[in-house]
Amino acid sequence: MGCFFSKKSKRKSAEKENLTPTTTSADTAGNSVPLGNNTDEAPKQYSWDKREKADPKDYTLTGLKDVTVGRLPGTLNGKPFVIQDCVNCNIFVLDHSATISIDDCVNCRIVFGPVKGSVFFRDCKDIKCVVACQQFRARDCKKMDVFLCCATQPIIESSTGMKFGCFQYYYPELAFHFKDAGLSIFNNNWSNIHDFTPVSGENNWSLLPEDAKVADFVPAPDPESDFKSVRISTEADRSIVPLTKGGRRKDSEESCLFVFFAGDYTTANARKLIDEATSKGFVLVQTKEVSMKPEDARRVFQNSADDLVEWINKGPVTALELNGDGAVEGCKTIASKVFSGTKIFVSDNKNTSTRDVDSFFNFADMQMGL
Amino acid sequence: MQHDPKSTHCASDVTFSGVSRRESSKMGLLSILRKLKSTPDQEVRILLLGLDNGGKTTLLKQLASEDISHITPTQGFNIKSVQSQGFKLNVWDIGGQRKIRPYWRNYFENTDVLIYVIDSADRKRFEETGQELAELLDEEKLSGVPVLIFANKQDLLTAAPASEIAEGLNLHTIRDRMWQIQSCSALTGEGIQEGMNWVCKSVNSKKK
Repeated sequence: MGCFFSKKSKRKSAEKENLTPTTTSADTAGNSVPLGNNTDEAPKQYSWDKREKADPKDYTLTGLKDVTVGRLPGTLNGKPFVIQDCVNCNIFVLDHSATISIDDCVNCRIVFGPVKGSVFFRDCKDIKCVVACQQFRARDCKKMDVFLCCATQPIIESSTGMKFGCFQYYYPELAFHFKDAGLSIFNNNWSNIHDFTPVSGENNWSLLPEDAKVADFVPAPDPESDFKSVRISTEADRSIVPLTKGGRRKDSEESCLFVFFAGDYTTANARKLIDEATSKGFVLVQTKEVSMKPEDARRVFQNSADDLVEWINKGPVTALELNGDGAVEGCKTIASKVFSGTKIFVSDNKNTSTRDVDSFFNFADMQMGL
Repeated sequence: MQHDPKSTHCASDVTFSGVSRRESSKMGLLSILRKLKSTPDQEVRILLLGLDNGGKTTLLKQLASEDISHITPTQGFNIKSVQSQGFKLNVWDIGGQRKIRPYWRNYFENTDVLIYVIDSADRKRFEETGQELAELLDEEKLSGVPVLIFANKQDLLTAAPASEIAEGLNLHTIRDRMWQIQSCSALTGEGIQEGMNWVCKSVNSKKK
Protein backbone atom coordinates (compact mmCIF):
# COMPACT_ATOMS: atom_id res chain seq x y z
CA MET A 1 0.00 0.00 0.00
CA GLY A 2 2.93 2.33 0.46
CA CYS A 3 3.84 4.87 3.04
CA PHE A 4 0.99 7.03 4.37
CA PHE A 5 3.28 9.52 5.98
CA SER A 6 4.30 12.67 4.16
CA LYS A 7 7.62 12.40 2.40
CA LYS A 8 9.07 15.18 4.50
CA SER A 9 8.36 13.54 7.85
CA LYS A 10 11.45 13.04 9.94
CA ARG A 11 11.88 10.74 12.88
CA LYS A 12 13.58 12.17 15.92
CA SER A 13 16.54 10.05 16.87
CA ALA A 14 16.20 7.93 19.99
CA GLU A 15 18.33 9.94 22.35
CA LYS A 16 16.09 10.02 25.37
CA GLU A 17 15.06 6.44 25.81
CA ASN A 18 16.36 3.27 24.38
CA LEU A 19 13.08 1.54 23.73
CA THR A 20 13.47 -2.15 23.25
CA PRO A 21 11.16 -3.04 20.41
CA THR A 22 9.48 -5.72 22.47
CA THR A 23 6.39 -6.05 20.45
CA THR A 24 3.25 -7.96 20.02
CA SER A 25 2.75 -8.98 16.49
CA ALA A 26 -0.02 -10.17 14.31
CA ASP A 27 -0.01 -11.88 10.99
CA THR A 28 -1.02 -10.11 7.92
CA ALA A 29 -0.51 -12.09 4.75
CA GLY A 30 2.04 -14.17 6.60
CA ASN A 31 4.20 -11.28 7.81
CA SER A 32 4.76 -10.23 11.39
CA VAL A 33 3.74 -6.65 12.16
CA PRO A 34 4.62 -4.95 15.44
CA LEU A 35 1.60 -3.44 17.15
CA GLY A 36 3.51 -1.62 19.87
CA ASN A 37 6.87 -1.05 21.48
CA ASN A 38 6.01 -1.19 25.12
CA THR A 39 3.99 -4.25 25.80
CA ASP A 40 4.44 -7.96 25.95
CA GLU A 41 0.82 -8.96 25.83
CA ALA A 42 -0.49 -11.05 23.01
CA PRO A 43 -3.33 -9.43 21.05
CA LYS A 44 -6.79 -10.56 22.11
CA GLN A 45 -9.38 -12.09 19.84
CA TYR A 46 -12.37 -9.88 19.24
CA SER A 47 -15.73 -10.43 17.58
CA TRP A 48 -14.34 -9.12 14.30
CA ASP A 49 -11.57 -11.72 14.38
CA LYS A 50 -14.07 -14.51 14.78
CA ARG A 51 -16.76 -13.49 12.31
CA GLU A 52 -17.03 -14.71 8.76
CA LYS A 53 -14.74 -12.73 6.51
CA ALA A 54 -16.62 -10.55 4.06
CA ASP A 55 -15.37 -8.87 0.91
CA PRO A 56 -15.55 -5.07 1.20
CA LYS A 57 -16.12 -5.00 -2.56
CA ASP A 58 -19.60 -6.40 -2.01
CA TYR A 59 -20.40 -3.24 -0.10
CA THR A 60 -18.85 -0.81 -2.55
CA LEU A 61 -20.06 0.84 -5.73
CA THR A 62 -17.12 2.12 -7.75
CA GLY A 63 -16.72 3.83 -11.08
CA LEU A 64 -20.25 3.38 -12.40
CA LYS A 65 -21.75 5.48 -15.14
CA ASP A 66 -25.27 6.05 -16.45
CA VAL A 67 -26.82 3.20 -14.46
CA THR A 68 -29.49 2.61 -11.83
CA VAL A 69 -28.01 0.65 -8.92
CA GLY A 70 -28.22 0.16 -5.17
CA ARG A 71 -29.65 -2.29 -2.68
CA LEU A 72 -33.15 -3.67 -2.27
CA PRO A 73 -34.79 -3.89 1.16
CA GLY A 74 -33.29 -6.71 3.21
CA THR A 75 -30.08 -6.98 1.18
CA LEU A 76 -27.85 -4.66 3.20
CA ASN A 77 -29.25 -5.13 6.67
CA GLY A 78 -27.21 -2.70 8.73
CA LYS A 79 -23.87 -3.15 6.96
CA PRO A 80 -21.68 -0.21 5.90
CA PHE A 81 -21.72 1.04 2.31
CA VAL A 82 -19.16 2.85 0.18
CA ILE A 83 -19.83 4.76 -3.04
CA GLN A 84 -17.06 6.29 -5.14
CA ASP A 85 -16.38 7.74 -8.59
CA CYS A 86 -19.89 7.38 -9.95
CA VAL A 87 -21.20 9.60 -12.71
CA ASN A 88 -24.78 10.17 -13.82
CA CYS A 89 -26.14 7.33 -11.72
CA ASN A 90 -29.39 6.72 -9.87
CA ILE A 91 -28.45 5.10 -6.58
CA PHE A 92 -31.09 3.59 -4.31
CA VAL A 93 -29.92 2.13 -1.01
CA LEU A 94 -33.33 1.05 0.23
CA ASP A 95 -32.28 -0.59 3.47
CA HIS A 96 -30.85 0.45 6.82
CA SER A 97 -27.07 0.69 7.02
CA ALA A 98 -24.30 1.33 9.52
CA THR A 99 -22.62 4.24 7.72
CA ILE A 100 -22.23 5.45 4.14
CA SER A 101 -19.36 7.40 2.54
CA ILE A 102 -19.67 8.93 -0.92
CA ASP A 103 -16.54 10.17 -2.70
CA ASP A 104 -15.96 11.90 -6.04
CA CYS A 105 -19.43 11.44 -7.47
CA VAL A 106 -20.94 13.72 -10.08
CA ASN A 107 -24.50 14.28 -11.28
CA CYS A 108 -26.15 11.51 -9.30
CA ARG A 109 -29.54 11.06 -7.80
CA ILE A 110 -29.38 9.18 -4.53
CA VAL A 111 -31.71 7.76 -1.89
CA PHE A 112 -30.39 6.42 1.41
CA GLY A 113 -32.60 4.48 3.78
CA PRO A 114 -31.91 5.12 7.48
CA VAL A 115 -28.22 5.19 8.38
CA LYS A 116 -27.40 4.38 12.00
CA GLY A 117 -24.20 6.42 11.99
CA SER A 118 -22.88 9.04 9.61
CA VAL A 119 -23.37 9.89 5.96
CA PHE A 120 -20.26 11.60 4.62
CA PHE A 121 -20.14 13.21 1.14
CA ARG A 122 -16.68 14.29 -0.06
CA ASP A 123 -15.64 15.93 -3.33
CA CYS A 124 -19.08 15.49 -4.87
CA LYS A 125 -20.86 17.70 -7.33
CA ASP A 126 -24.40 18.10 -8.67
CA ILE A 127 -26.01 15.63 -6.31
CA LYS A 128 -29.71 15.38 -5.55
CA CYS A 129 -30.46 13.11 -2.65
CA VAL A 130 -32.88 11.90 0.00
CA VAL A 131 -31.04 10.92 3.19
CA ALA A 132 -31.94 9.73 6.70
CA CYS A 133 -29.06 9.45 9.17
CA GLN A 134 -27.71 10.19 12.62
CA GLN A 135 -24.99 12.52 11.31
CA PHE A 136 -24.78 14.35 7.99
CA ARG A 137 -21.34 15.54 6.86
CA ALA A 138 -20.16 17.11 3.62
CA ARG A 139 -16.66 18.34 2.68
CA ASP A 140 -15.45 19.90 -0.58
CA CYS A 141 -18.87 19.48 -2.19
CA LYS A 142 -20.60 21.67 -4.71
CA LYS A 143 -24.26 22.00 -5.62
CA MET A 144 -26.17 19.48 -3.62
CA ASP A 145 -29.90 19.33 -2.99
CA VAL A 146 -30.58 17.27 0.11
CA PHE A 147 -33.96 16.14 1.43
CA LEU A 148 -32.80 15.29 4.90
CA CYS A 149 -33.79 13.58 8.11
CA CYS A 150 -30.87 14.02 10.50
CA ALA A 151 -30.85 13.27 14.23
CA THR A 152 -28.09 15.79 14.95
CA GLN A 153 -26.94 19.10 13.52
CA PRO A 154 -25.79 18.60 9.90
CA ILE A 155 -22.34 20.01 9.10
CA ILE A 156 -20.67 21.19 5.93
CA GLU A 157 -17.06 22.20 5.28
CA SER A 158 -15.51 23.90 2.24
CA SER A 159 -18.74 23.36 0.32
CA THR A 160 -21.00 25.66 -1.67
CA GLY A 161 -24.42 25.63 -3.22
CA MET A 162 -25.76 23.24 -0.58
CA LYS A 163 -29.55 23.25 -0.30
CA PHE A 164 -31.63 21.46 2.28
CA GLY A 165 -35.25 20.41 2.58
CA CYS A 166 -37.22 18.07 4.80
CA PHE A 167 -36.99 14.34 4.13
CA GLN A 168 -40.01 13.06 2.23
CA TYR A 169 -40.07 9.42 1.24
CA TYR A 170 -42.03 6.24 1.59
CA TYR A 171 -41.53 2.59 0.82
CA PRO A 172 -43.21 -0.20 2.77
CA GLU A 173 -40.21 -1.28 4.87
CA LEU A 174 -39.00 2.26 5.60
CA ALA A 175 -40.66 2.59 9.01
CA PHE A 176 -39.00 -0.64 10.15
CA HIS A 177 -35.67 0.53 8.79
CA PHE A 178 -35.88 3.63 10.95
CA LYS A 179 -36.33 1.41 14.00
CA ASP A 180 -33.52 -0.90 12.91
CA ALA A 181 -31.20 2.08 12.57
CA GLY A 182 -32.22 3.45 15.96
CA LEU A 183 -33.51 6.68 14.43
CA SER A 184 -36.68 8.50 15.41
CA ILE A 185 -38.89 9.99 12.68
CA PHE A 186 -39.55 12.82 15.13
CA ASN A 187 -35.92 13.90 15.54
CA ASN A 188 -35.10 15.78 12.41
CA ASN A 189 -32.67 18.69 12.36
CA TRP A 190 -32.78 19.23 8.64
CA SER A 191 -32.80 23.03 8.53
CA ASN A 192 -30.12 24.24 10.93
CA ILE A 193 -26.77 23.55 9.25
CA HIS A 194 -23.39 24.27 10.79
CA ASP A 195 -20.83 25.56 8.32
CA PHE A 196 -17.19 25.10 9.36
CA THR A 197 -16.01 27.44 6.61
CA PRO A 198 -18.46 30.34 6.38
CA VAL A 199 -17.59 33.08 3.93
CA SER A 200 -18.58 36.60 4.89
CA GLY A 201 -21.06 38.08 2.50
CA GLU A 202 -22.01 34.72 1.07
CA ASN A 203 -24.08 31.70 2.03
CA ASN A 204 -22.69 28.27 1.37
CA TRP A 205 -26.05 26.76 2.19
CA SER A 206 -29.73 27.62 2.01
CA LEU A 207 -33.14 25.99 2.29
CA LEU A 208 -34.97 24.50 -0.67
CA PRO A 209 -38.27 26.14 -1.60
CA GLU A 210 -41.04 24.96 0.67
CA ASP A 211 -43.00 23.50 -2.22
CA ALA A 212 -40.04 21.63 -3.69
CA LYS A 213 -41.16 18.19 -4.81
CA VAL A 214 -38.82 15.26 -4.27
CA ALA A 215 -40.02 13.68 -7.49
CA ASP A 216 -38.56 16.61 -9.45
CA PHE A 217 -35.16 16.06 -7.88
CA VAL A 218 -34.92 12.33 -7.37
CA PRO A 219 -37.39 10.52 -9.63
CA ALA A 220 -38.59 7.06 -8.68
CA PRO A 221 -36.57 4.23 -10.20
CA ASP A 222 -37.23 3.28 -13.79
CA PRO A 223 -40.08 0.72 -14.00
CA GLU A 224 -37.70 -1.60 -15.87
CA SER A 225 -35.00 -1.45 -13.20
CA ASP A 226 -34.23 -3.89 -10.39
CA PHE A 227 -36.25 -1.64 -8.12
CA LYS A 228 -39.58 -2.08 -9.89
CA SER A 229 -40.83 -4.30 -7.07
CA VAL A 230 -40.49 -1.56 -4.44
CA ARG A 231 -43.61 0.56 -3.98
CA ILE A 232 -41.99 3.93 -3.52
CA SER A 233 -43.89 7.15 -2.96
CA THR A 234 -42.52 10.67 -2.76
CA GLU A 235 -45.87 12.26 -1.96
CA ALA A 236 -45.62 14.61 1.02
CA ASP A 237 -48.63 13.14 2.79
CA ARG A 238 -47.24 9.60 2.59
CA SER A 239 -43.84 10.49 4.02
CA ILE A 240 -42.70 8.35 6.93
CA VAL A 241 -40.98 11.40 8.36
CA PRO A 242 -43.48 14.18 9.13
CA LEU A 243 -42.90 17.33 7.11
CA THR A 244 -41.72 20.14 9.32
CA LYS A 245 -41.28 23.80 8.63
CA GLY A 246 -38.02 23.76 10.54
CA GLY A 247 -36.14 27.04 10.52
CA ARG A 248 -38.32 28.70 7.90
CA ARG A 249 -40.08 31.83 9.01
CA LYS A 250 -43.34 31.07 10.74
CA ASP A 251 -46.60 32.47 9.34
CA SER A 252 -48.14 33.29 12.71
CA GLU A 253 -46.99 34.47 16.11
CA GLU A 254 -49.11 31.81 17.75
CA SER A 255 -47.67 28.38 18.38
CA CYS A 256 -49.00 25.53 20.48
CA LEU A 257 -47.08 22.76 22.27
CA PHE A 258 -48.65 19.30 22.08
CA VAL A 259 -47.03 16.40 23.93
CA PHE A 260 -47.80 12.68 23.82
CA PHE A 261 -46.40 10.34 26.45
CA ALA A 262 -44.81 6.97 25.82
CA GLY A 263 -47.20 4.21 24.81
CA ASP A 264 -48.02 1.71 22.10
CA TYR A 265 -49.94 4.17 19.98
CA THR A 266 -47.78 7.26 20.36
CA THR A 267 -46.59 7.36 16.76
CA ALA A 268 -50.06 6.73 15.38
CA ASN A 269 -51.50 9.38 17.67
CA ALA A 270 -48.88 11.91 16.63
CA ARG A 271 -49.67 11.28 12.97
CA LYS A 272 -53.37 11.63 13.68
CA LEU A 273 -52.75 14.97 15.36
CA ILE A 274 -50.67 16.17 12.42
CA ASP A 275 -53.44 15.18 9.99
CA GLU A 276 -56.14 16.88 12.04
CA ALA A 277 -54.09 20.02 12.62
CA THR A 278 -52.91 20.44 9.05
CA SER A 279 -56.39 19.89 7.70
CA LYS A 280 -57.44 22.87 9.85
CA GLY A 281 -54.68 24.92 8.23
CA PHE A 282 -52.12 24.77 11.03
CA VAL A 283 -48.47 24.13 10.27
CA LEU A 284 -46.15 21.60 11.89
CA VAL A 285 -42.98 23.50 12.81
CA GLN A 286 -40.93 20.88 14.63
CA THR A 287 -41.10 17.62 16.52
CA LYS A 288 -38.93 15.88 19.11
CA GLU A 289 -38.84 12.48 20.76
CA VAL A 290 -36.85 12.77 23.96
CA SER A 291 -36.58 11.35 27.48
CA MET A 292 -37.43 13.63 30.36
CA LYS A 293 -36.60 13.52 34.06
CA PRO A 294 -39.02 14.78 36.74
CA GLU A 295 -37.08 18.02 37.16
CA ASP A 296 -37.31 18.63 33.40
CA ALA A 297 -41.07 18.12 33.53
CA ARG A 298 -41.41 20.63 36.35
CA ARG A 299 -39.45 23.22 34.42
CA VAL A 300 -41.26 22.67 31.12
CA PHE A 301 -44.81 21.87 32.16
CA GLN A 302 -44.85 24.02 35.30
CA ASN A 303 -48.32 23.87 36.83
CA SER A 304 -49.30 20.68 35.06
CA ALA A 305 -46.09 18.90 36.02
CA ASP A 306 -47.20 16.94 39.09
CA ASP A 307 -49.83 15.15 37.10
CA LEU A 308 -47.39 14.19 34.37
CA VAL A 309 -44.32 13.03 36.27
CA GLU A 310 -45.39 9.40 36.44
CA TRP A 311 -46.01 9.45 32.67
CA ILE A 312 -42.58 10.68 31.71
CA ASN A 313 -41.05 7.74 33.51
CA LYS A 314 -42.71 5.34 31.09
CA GLY A 315 -40.42 6.37 28.26
CA PRO A 316 -39.55 9.22 25.91
CA VAL A 317 -42.20 11.82 25.15
CA THR A 318 -43.13 12.95 21.64
CA ALA A 319 -43.64 16.68 21.30
CA LEU A 320 -44.94 18.74 18.41
CA GLU A 321 -45.11 22.48 17.74
CA LEU A 322 -48.10 23.60 15.71
CA ASN A 323 -48.25 27.12 14.36
CA GLY A 324 -51.03 29.32 13.09
CA ASP A 325 -53.59 31.86 14.27
CA GLY A 326 -55.92 30.00 16.62
CA ALA A 327 -53.52 27.06 16.97
CA VAL A 328 -53.99 26.74 20.72
CA GLU A 329 -57.77 26.65 20.60
CA GLY A 330 -57.59 24.40 17.57
CA CYS A 331 -55.31 21.94 19.35
CA LYS A 332 -57.39 21.96 22.51
CA THR A 333 -60.46 21.14 20.44
CA ILE A 334 -58.64 18.28 18.73
CA ALA A 335 -57.41 17.07 22.12
CA SER A 336 -60.92 16.84 23.55
CA LYS A 337 -62.53 15.41 20.40
CA VAL A 338 -59.89 12.94 19.30
CA PHE A 339 -57.63 12.27 22.30
CA SER A 340 -59.99 12.41 25.26
CA GLY A 341 -58.78 9.02 26.50
CA THR A 342 -55.10 9.70 25.95
CA LYS A 343 -52.63 11.29 28.35
CA ILE A 344 -51.40 14.46 26.71
CA PHE A 345 -50.17 17.95 27.40
CA VAL A 346 -51.55 20.87 25.37
CA SER A 347 -50.76 24.52 25.80
CA ASP A 348 -53.48 26.17 27.76
CA ASN A 349 -53.67 29.59 26.20
CA LYS A 350 -51.96 31.65 23.54
CA ASN A 351 -50.36 34.00 26.05
CA THR A 352 -48.29 31.24 27.61
CA SER A 353 -48.00 28.84 24.68
CA THR A 354 -44.87 30.48 23.23
CA ARG A 355 -43.17 29.95 26.57
CA ASP A 356 -44.28 26.30 26.55
CA VAL A 357 -42.77 25.79 23.12
CA ASP A 358 -39.52 27.56 23.93
CA SER A 359 -39.11 25.77 27.27
CA PHE A 360 -39.65 22.39 25.77
CA PHE A 361 -37.52 22.68 22.66
CA ASN A 362 -34.67 24.48 24.42
CA PHE A 363 -34.63 21.65 26.93
CA ALA A 364 -34.73 19.05 24.13
CA ASP A 365 -31.88 20.72 22.24
CA MET A 366 -29.73 20.78 25.38
CA GLN A 367 -30.57 17.18 26.16
CA MET A 368 -29.62 16.06 22.68
CA GLY A 369 -26.34 17.90 22.64
CA LEU A 370 -27.08 20.56 20.09
CA MET B 1 -16.13 9.32 46.94
CA GLN B 2 -14.91 12.84 46.58
CA HIS B 3 -11.25 13.34 47.06
CA ASP B 4 -9.41 16.60 46.84
CA PRO B 5 -5.89 15.87 45.65
CA LYS B 6 -4.81 19.28 46.81
CA SER B 7 -5.71 18.71 50.46
CA THR B 8 -2.69 18.30 52.64
CA HIS B 9 -2.35 15.22 54.77
CA CYS B 10 0.78 15.98 56.61
CA ALA B 11 2.17 15.49 60.07
CA SER B 12 1.56 19.08 61.08
CA ASP B 13 -2.18 18.41 61.05
CA VAL B 14 -1.66 16.22 64.06
CA THR B 15 -0.26 18.75 66.51
CA PHE B 16 -2.52 21.55 67.62
CA SER B 17 -1.23 23.91 70.22
CA GLY B 18 -3.56 24.37 73.14
CA VAL B 19 -5.32 21.07 72.57
CA SER B 20 -5.34 18.42 75.23
CA ARG B 21 -3.10 15.42 74.66
CA ARG B 22 -6.01 13.04 74.50
CA GLU B 23 -7.72 15.18 71.89
CA SER B 24 -4.57 15.64 69.87
CA SER B 25 -3.81 11.93 69.83
CA LYS B 26 -7.39 11.25 68.67
CA MET B 27 -6.90 13.79 65.88
CA GLY B 28 -3.57 12.18 64.99
CA LEU B 29 -5.28 8.81 64.63
CA LEU B 30 -7.92 10.33 62.37
CA SER B 31 -5.37 11.83 60.08
CA ILE B 32 -3.50 8.52 59.82
CA LEU B 33 -6.74 6.75 59.04
CA ARG B 34 -7.43 9.35 56.40
CA LYS B 35 -4.09 8.65 54.78
CA LEU B 36 -4.58 4.89 54.83
CA LYS B 37 -8.09 5.10 53.43
CA SER B 38 -7.14 6.71 50.16
CA THR B 39 -4.41 8.46 48.32
CA PRO B 40 -5.10 11.36 45.99
CA ASP B 41 -5.78 10.11 42.50
CA GLN B 42 -3.05 10.90 40.07
CA GLU B 43 -4.42 13.21 37.39
CA VAL B 44 -3.60 12.34 33.82
CA ARG B 45 -4.16 14.68 30.90
CA ILE B 46 -5.20 12.83 27.75
CA LEU B 47 -5.56 14.45 24.35
CA LEU B 48 -7.96 12.71 21.94
CA LEU B 49 -7.24 13.60 18.32
CA GLY B 50 -7.88 12.28 14.83
CA LEU B 51 -9.74 13.18 11.63
CA ASP B 52 -13.37 14.21 11.75
CA ASN B 53 -15.80 11.27 11.79
CA GLY B 54 -13.21 8.99 13.37
CA GLY B 55 -15.22 8.17 16.48
CA LYS B 56 -13.46 10.33 19.09
CA THR B 57 -16.61 11.58 20.78
CA THR B 58 -18.19 8.14 20.73
CA LEU B 59 -15.04 6.85 22.42
CA LEU B 60 -15.18 9.64 25.00
CA LYS B 61 -18.77 8.90 25.86
CA GLN B 62 -18.08 5.17 25.98
CA LEU B 63 -15.26 5.81 28.48
CA ALA B 64 -17.70 7.78 30.60
CA SER B 65 -20.34 5.02 30.28
CA GLU B 66 -22.79 7.41 28.68
CA ASP B 67 -25.37 6.92 25.94
CA ILE B 68 -23.71 6.73 22.52
CA SER B 69 -26.75 6.42 20.30
CA HIS B 70 -27.07 10.12 19.62
CA ILE B 71 -23.81 12.01 19.03
CA THR B 72 -23.40 15.35 17.25
CA PRO B 73 -20.31 16.22 15.17
CA THR B 74 -18.02 18.13 17.54
CA GLN B 75 -17.79 21.82 16.77
CA GLY B 76 -15.30 22.82 19.47
CA PHE B 77 -14.25 20.25 22.00
CA ASN B 78 -15.60 17.96 24.70
CA ILE B 79 -13.95 17.20 27.98
CA LYS B 80 -14.68 14.50 30.52
CA SER B 81 -13.05 13.18 33.65
CA VAL B 82 -13.03 9.44 34.09
CA GLN B 83 -11.72 7.31 36.96
CA SER B 84 -9.64 4.39 35.82
CA GLN B 85 -7.23 2.13 37.70
CA GLY B 86 -6.48 4.68 40.37
CA PHE B 87 -6.06 7.47 37.89
CA LYS B 88 -8.26 10.44 37.20
CA LEU B 89 -8.18 10.75 33.43
CA ASN B 90 -8.98 14.21 32.09
CA VAL B 91 -9.82 13.51 28.46
CA TRP B 92 -9.92 16.32 25.91
CA ASP B 93 -11.79 15.41 22.71
CA ILE B 94 -11.07 18.03 20.03
CA GLY B 95 -13.01 18.47 16.77
CA GLY B 96 -11.12 17.03 13.77
CA GLN B 97 -12.46 18.90 10.72
CA ARG B 98 -9.66 20.03 8.43
CA LYS B 99 -10.50 23.69 9.07
CA ILE B 100 -10.07 23.44 12.84
CA ARG B 101 -7.01 21.17 13.06
CA PRO B 102 -4.75 24.24 13.41
CA TYR B 103 -6.38 24.70 16.82
CA TRP B 104 -5.14 21.32 18.03
CA ARG B 105 -1.86 22.94 19.11
CA ASN B 106 -3.71 25.02 21.69
CA TYR B 107 -4.23 21.79 23.62
CA PHE B 108 -0.76 20.19 23.40
CA GLU B 109 0.75 21.60 26.56
CA ASN B 110 1.05 19.22 29.51
CA THR B 111 -0.43 16.29 27.65
CA ASP B 112 0.49 13.02 29.36
CA VAL B 113 -0.80 10.67 26.67
CA LEU B 114 -1.99 11.18 23.13
CA ILE B 115 -4.81 8.99 21.87
CA TYR B 116 -5.14 9.09 18.08
CA VAL B 117 -8.34 7.66 16.63
CA ILE B 118 -8.53 6.27 13.10
CA ASP B 119 -11.64 5.22 11.17
CA SER B 120 -10.37 1.85 9.99
CA ALA B 121 -13.09 1.68 7.34
CA ASP B 122 -12.29 5.03 5.72
CA ARG B 123 -9.58 3.83 3.35
CA LYS B 124 -9.93 6.88 1.18
CA ARG B 125 -8.47 8.98 3.98
CA PHE B 126 -5.68 6.71 5.26
CA GLU B 127 -3.11 8.99 3.67
CA GLU B 128 -4.68 12.07 5.21
CA THR B 129 -4.79 10.57 8.69
CA GLY B 130 -1.22 9.30 8.35
CA GLN B 131 -0.16 12.80 7.44
CA GLU B 132 -1.85 14.37 10.45
CA LEU B 133 -0.37 11.77 12.80
CA ALA B 134 3.10 12.31 11.37
CA GLU B 135 2.82 16.04 11.97
CA LEU B 136 1.69 15.49 15.55
CA LEU B 137 4.66 13.24 16.26
CA ASP B 138 6.93 16.02 15.00
CA GLU B 139 5.51 18.58 17.38
CA GLU B 140 7.93 19.87 20.00
CA LYS B 141 5.21 20.23 22.63
CA LEU B 142 4.27 16.57 22.19
CA SER B 143 7.81 15.31 22.20
CA GLY B 144 8.16 11.99 24.01
CA VAL B 145 4.45 11.77 24.79
CA PRO B 146 3.25 8.14 24.56
CA VAL B 147 0.74 7.60 21.77
CA LEU B 148 -2.08 5.08 21.62
CA ILE B 149 -3.54 4.62 18.16
CA PHE B 150 -7.07 3.25 18.22
CA ALA B 151 -7.89 1.46 14.97
CA ASN B 152 -11.58 2.18 15.46
CA LYS B 153 -14.76 0.96 13.74
CA GLN B 154 -13.58 -2.64 13.61
CA ASP B 155 -17.25 -3.58 13.95
CA LEU B 156 -17.65 -2.57 10.27
CA LEU B 157 -16.81 -5.35 7.85
CA THR B 158 -15.21 -2.81 5.51
CA ALA B 159 -12.60 -2.03 8.19
CA ALA B 160 -8.91 -2.69 7.60
CA PRO B 161 -7.24 -4.71 10.39
CA ALA B 162 -4.92 -2.93 12.85
CA SER B 163 -1.88 -4.71 11.43
CA GLU B 164 -2.59 -3.31 7.97
CA ILE B 165 -2.97 0.18 9.38
CA ALA B 166 0.19 -0.19 11.49
CA GLU B 167 2.09 -1.19 8.40
CA GLY B 168 0.67 1.59 6.26
CA LEU B 169 1.50 4.18 8.88
CA ASN B 170 5.02 2.81 9.41
CA LEU B 171 4.46 2.82 13.15
CA HIS B 172 7.46 0.59 13.70
CA THR B 173 9.68 3.53 12.75
CA ILE B 174 8.58 5.48 15.81
CA ARG B 175 11.63 5.50 18.05
CA ASP B 176 11.24 8.51 20.29
CA ARG B 177 8.30 7.47 22.44
CA MET B 178 6.14 4.58 23.60
CA TRP B 179 3.41 3.66 21.12
CA GLN B 180 0.70 1.07 20.71
CA ILE B 181 -1.99 0.36 18.13
CA GLN B 182 -5.19 -1.19 19.42
CA SER B 183 -8.18 -2.45 17.43
CA CYS B 184 -11.45 -1.33 18.84
CA SER B 185 -15.06 -0.50 18.29
CA ALA B 186 -16.10 2.58 20.25
CA LEU B 187 -19.66 1.59 19.41
CA THR B 188 -19.59 -1.88 20.99
CA GLY B 189 -16.85 -1.08 23.50
CA GLU B 190 -14.58 -3.91 22.44
CA GLY B 191 -10.86 -3.18 22.66
CA ILE B 192 -11.33 0.04 24.63
CA GLN B 193 -10.33 -1.40 27.99
CA GLU B 194 -7.16 -2.91 26.55
CA GLY B 195 -6.22 0.44 25.07
CA MET B 196 -6.85 2.26 28.32
CA ASN B 197 -4.83 -0.36 30.23
CA TRP B 198 -1.89 0.51 28.01
CA VAL B 199 -2.52 4.23 28.60
CA CYS B 200 -2.36 3.76 32.37
CA LYS B 201 0.72 1.58 32.08
CA SER B 202 2.47 4.16 29.92
CA VAL B 203 1.68 6.90 32.41
CA ASN B 204 3.22 4.84 35.21
CA SER B 205 6.36 4.26 33.16
CA LYS B 206 6.70 7.89 32.28
CA LYS B 207 6.16 9.32 35.72
CA LYS B 208 8.71 7.09 37.45
